[in-house]
Amino acid sequence: MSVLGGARWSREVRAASLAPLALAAGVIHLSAAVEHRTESGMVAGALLALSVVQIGVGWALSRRPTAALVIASGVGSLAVVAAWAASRTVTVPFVEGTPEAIGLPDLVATGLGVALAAGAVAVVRRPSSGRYLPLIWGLAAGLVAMSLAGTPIRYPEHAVAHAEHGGAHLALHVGAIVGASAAFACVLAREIVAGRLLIGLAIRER
Amino acid sequence: MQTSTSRWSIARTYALIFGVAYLGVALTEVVLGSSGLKLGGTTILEVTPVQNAIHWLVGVVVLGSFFAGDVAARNVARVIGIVFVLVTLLGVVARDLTGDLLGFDGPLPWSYNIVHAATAVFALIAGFAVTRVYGERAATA
Repeated sequence: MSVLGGARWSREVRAASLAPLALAAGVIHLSAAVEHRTESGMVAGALLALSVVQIGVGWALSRRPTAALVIASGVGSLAVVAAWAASRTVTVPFVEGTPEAIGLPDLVATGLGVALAAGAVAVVRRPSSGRYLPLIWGLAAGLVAMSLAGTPIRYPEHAVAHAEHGGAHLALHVGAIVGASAAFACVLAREIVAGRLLIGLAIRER
Repeated sequence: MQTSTSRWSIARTYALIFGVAYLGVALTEVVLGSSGLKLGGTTILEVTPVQNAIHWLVGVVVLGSFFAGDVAARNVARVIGIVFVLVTLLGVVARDLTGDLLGFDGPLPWSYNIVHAATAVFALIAGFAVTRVYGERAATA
């Protein structure tokens, strides 16, 4: 078995590791609720409720990751993804302004939702393998990094330079390398926790 | 053979993950970068020749070291780590100069310093980490 896929993780540990995906999606939806508060109270309220649920699910996954909760979070994430797809493609009854344009933050939140659903399936179907864990962490971190790097408003003091000098244009680079870093950090953590890796200088090793 | 339970060393794992990431970025730049790549209305990719060349170089060397074996992967990780530490320091203390060197029309964006620092830190860990399994030294090639 390889370093990437060989370590054995308990179902509880891997289920709890899905928590950051739900928490990150909740934070993004909370930000979206704030942005929509002046445009549509109903949409803002729905986004706020969604963010509360996602943050609550993330907290619950980190504290008590039962199989039922994992399955529910996966199914719920897919439902949110479906609702987002509908809001971007068709006119949704009682919701003004639909279909909306696709934005980077909502793409990221959708990616997190898909990752959470995929992770839930992995946890339920493969109770003793952590093969996909680094990929899930890498995907989540990469998407969030890409969203941050591609949004100049997050860096108000450098907003002009960021936009003019290609900061947003680097978002894919940043997302890819931060994602790779997260995946590698996941592997490192797994090896250290499993007692297979000690970090120390090895200059004179050979 | 690395250990009885692991086929790849940490250095080769680093080489695989980061080599694929850098080559993926370089290839995407070539395929889509000439006209830019938009996602959700935001341009998230626009190629510059210097950066593209660097991405190809880093990707080929790092991924090549994965196929070359543990010793090569470890040595390449050490070199990459040291080089990227220097680039990160340069990007912090001389942003304008680093931006010019990398083909930017202005100072180097901070997000790129983060990318350089992450690459350096994990390369140094991969290059200088010692793997032991149940007390036995196992990271030597």
